[in-house]
Amino acid sequence: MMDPQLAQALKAAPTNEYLLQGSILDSSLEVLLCRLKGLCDHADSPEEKFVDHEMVYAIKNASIPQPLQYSVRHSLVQPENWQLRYLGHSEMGDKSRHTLIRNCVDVATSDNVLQFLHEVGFRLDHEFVVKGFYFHKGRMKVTVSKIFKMMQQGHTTDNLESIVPSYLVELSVLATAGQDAIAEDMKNFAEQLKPLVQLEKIDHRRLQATGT
Amino acid sequence: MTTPVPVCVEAVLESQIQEVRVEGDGQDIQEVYAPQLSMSENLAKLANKIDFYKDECEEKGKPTSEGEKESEEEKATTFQPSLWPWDSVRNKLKASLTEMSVLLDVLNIAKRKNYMVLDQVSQPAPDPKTALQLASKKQALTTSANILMNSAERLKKSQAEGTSKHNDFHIELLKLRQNWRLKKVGNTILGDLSYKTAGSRFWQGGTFEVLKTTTSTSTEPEGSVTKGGLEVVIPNDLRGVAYIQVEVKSVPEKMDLTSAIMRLPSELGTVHTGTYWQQKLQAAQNVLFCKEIFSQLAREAVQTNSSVPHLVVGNQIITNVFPGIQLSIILCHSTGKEKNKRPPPAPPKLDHNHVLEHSLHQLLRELHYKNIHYPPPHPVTAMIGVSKKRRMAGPLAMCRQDLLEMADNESLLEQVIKQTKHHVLRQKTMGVLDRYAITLSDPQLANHWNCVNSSLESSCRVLITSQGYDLRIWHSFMVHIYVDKIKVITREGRVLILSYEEKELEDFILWQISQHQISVSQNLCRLMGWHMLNTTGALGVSDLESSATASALVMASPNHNKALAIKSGPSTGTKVFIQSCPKENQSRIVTKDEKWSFVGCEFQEVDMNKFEGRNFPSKLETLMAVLTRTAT
Repeated sequence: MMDPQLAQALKAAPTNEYLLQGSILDSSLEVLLCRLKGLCDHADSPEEKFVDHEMVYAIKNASIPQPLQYSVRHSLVQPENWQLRYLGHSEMGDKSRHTLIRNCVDVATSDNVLQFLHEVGFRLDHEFVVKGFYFHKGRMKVTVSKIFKMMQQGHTTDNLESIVPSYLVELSVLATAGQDAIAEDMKNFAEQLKPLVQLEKIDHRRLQATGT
Repeated sequence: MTTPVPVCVEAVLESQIQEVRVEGDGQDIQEVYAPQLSMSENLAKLANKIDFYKDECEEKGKPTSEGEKESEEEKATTFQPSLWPWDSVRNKLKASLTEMSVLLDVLNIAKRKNYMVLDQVSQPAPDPKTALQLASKKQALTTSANILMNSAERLKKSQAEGTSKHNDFHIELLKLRQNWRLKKVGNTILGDLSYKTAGSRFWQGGTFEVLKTTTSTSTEPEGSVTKGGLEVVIPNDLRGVAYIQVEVKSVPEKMDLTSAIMRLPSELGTVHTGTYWQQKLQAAQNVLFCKEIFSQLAREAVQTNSSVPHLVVGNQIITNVFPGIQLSIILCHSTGKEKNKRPPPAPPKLDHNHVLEHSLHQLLRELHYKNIHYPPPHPVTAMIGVSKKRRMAGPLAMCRQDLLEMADNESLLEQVIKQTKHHVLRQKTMGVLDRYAITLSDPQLANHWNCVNSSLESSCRVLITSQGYDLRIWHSFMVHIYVDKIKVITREGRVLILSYEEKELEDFILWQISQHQISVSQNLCRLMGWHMLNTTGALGVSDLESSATASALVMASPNHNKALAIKSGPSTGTKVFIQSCPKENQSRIVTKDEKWSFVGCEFQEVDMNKFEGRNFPSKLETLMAVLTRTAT
């Protein structure tokens, strides 16, 4: 039996992520950053950089073919900040829906979360380093980031190799269920970035299908 | 045959009762009659009663179904209709003949006026006031003519001036666009002067409209700023000049807060219509900002449950900071329209507080800044708008108390009140210290204020010196002024917390002065080779001081034949006693040694005023020198 207060808090917690994705080539990074700086809230301060290390852990279950995955992220800028993230099944929806919606639960943790996951039975599936820039406009978060492959396991600072010569652009909002007005705002924002980057809802399952 | 009797067919001459009035105690009953209807009105009324639809239905319905049946039945009684094939045709012809004859009758009646006169059923229209109509028509014509003339003139001018004017507008628009947010809606250009993009969440928007000026420049007064071909239209409630005025007043303690009068300073600057758009927009923006400050403060004043009630009256917020000290924040806004009615009197000297006004502006800007500057999330998937400390709250297992403290957000009003309290306290302390510094000559007070201070904290070092002896001997204490208390640290490191009451600080200063006199005496004693016999900081004997305690020092001359006792109290002042040794005393003493000769001798007060010297130490020095010399 869950504590009613806790249940209420969980109900109020934002667990739906509205997401739009796109990508740009390295050469057009400057232009996009410039545009984002103009559009987003903290125009007067320099753009915020981030470096994160993400480790994806998976556990196999005999009854379900798809393994359950958790991703652990920790900042390399503020190394004491660790986070465990569960991403649910993403809903594409039909044409009337402007963004992809997926269930998303973020929990701040301490640094021994890795040990905990190991002991529960999770195994490391893959890991990577993300470097990029972060912007926000109201509740909308925009990240422009590049994913690096780690040549040596556990080495997050050296021996990094970029996978593709492009940057991933993500526009996301965390909200409680049923706030579809946000999707409209996001669409409008994406429109303003139009010639520089095409932000769309991207079906990951289709990508996975073509990849295999 | 009888002679025809004319029968008048008209409505009964009775008036209908419209209303029954009962007056008094039901004794007097009055009936109010409706006015008599005229003939045409009556006709109209009756005509209203006729159900035309019903008649039509009867006429139309009968020929189709029932009418035929009836006629057939009739015919069946007279002659056999079914036997005659032209029966239906005959019937129809007969019906049409009846209709035609009725029509003819109606026409005859209508045409020949001897039967009936057709009159308009509707009531006669009120006779038109021709003069008024003519006047309004004339006015409409002149206004439209004026509009046409003006536009024609404008067209003429714009053609005559060519493209120069046109370019002017666009250059101005370019300049405007560099500084202000503009967008085009339809054919109009709208701008936004609100602080929304800077983080404001004020409900009132600041939309203005950009127009191209086409009025002739010759009508402008001489000396006005040359403006370009651009004009901005600011919404009515943002026109004029506004500012926030903060006053800190001392009011009698018994005074009721509600009796505070609301007043608006009569002299406010106005924005002339001819000013350049940049100044106009800036003034409007300032109006908006002041309104936001005031509405924020007013909201907080109503919402917060503090022990001291805040009062919001019209454009004024009143609150008590200390008993008897009142803070009032006033929003002054003049739209500049009132000024036209009467010339303003000479501006009264307003006793307002620039510093607090400035800090109010600063506080709101800080609030705006916080609204849009979130701490960056690390890792980047973390929720935005959450501080690092809050993110770490879970992993660090913070308790409820810590979380509540984190959520505690000080309101604008609370911050201003705190600053006001500090301001008042600082002023008071300054006043007390300065007063003593001016009035005291023996010893003297010197105040050194620290130039590094904040809006909630300041400090000062006070030196107590005696003139001529200030190189080696001085006494000092530190005064730290906080929001509603003062902390003083004495030279020995003793810490005392004083409240906002002036008296406490005054007592403390007096006590320090009395201490200073004793330390000066001690120093002199040491310098001149006297022996200190006894010293005490809290003398338990003698008259009671009004505050604190007196301190005392007893010292003996180098050859031990004279002794001085000095007592220094905060309220009683400094007194010097000398132990004199009467001659007969020597014979009583058992031991012949000279140093015992004083035992049992009485102390007598020395009138220090008789001595020459600028201050107490110099007088004491003289006394000691004399005593040293006479003893040898």
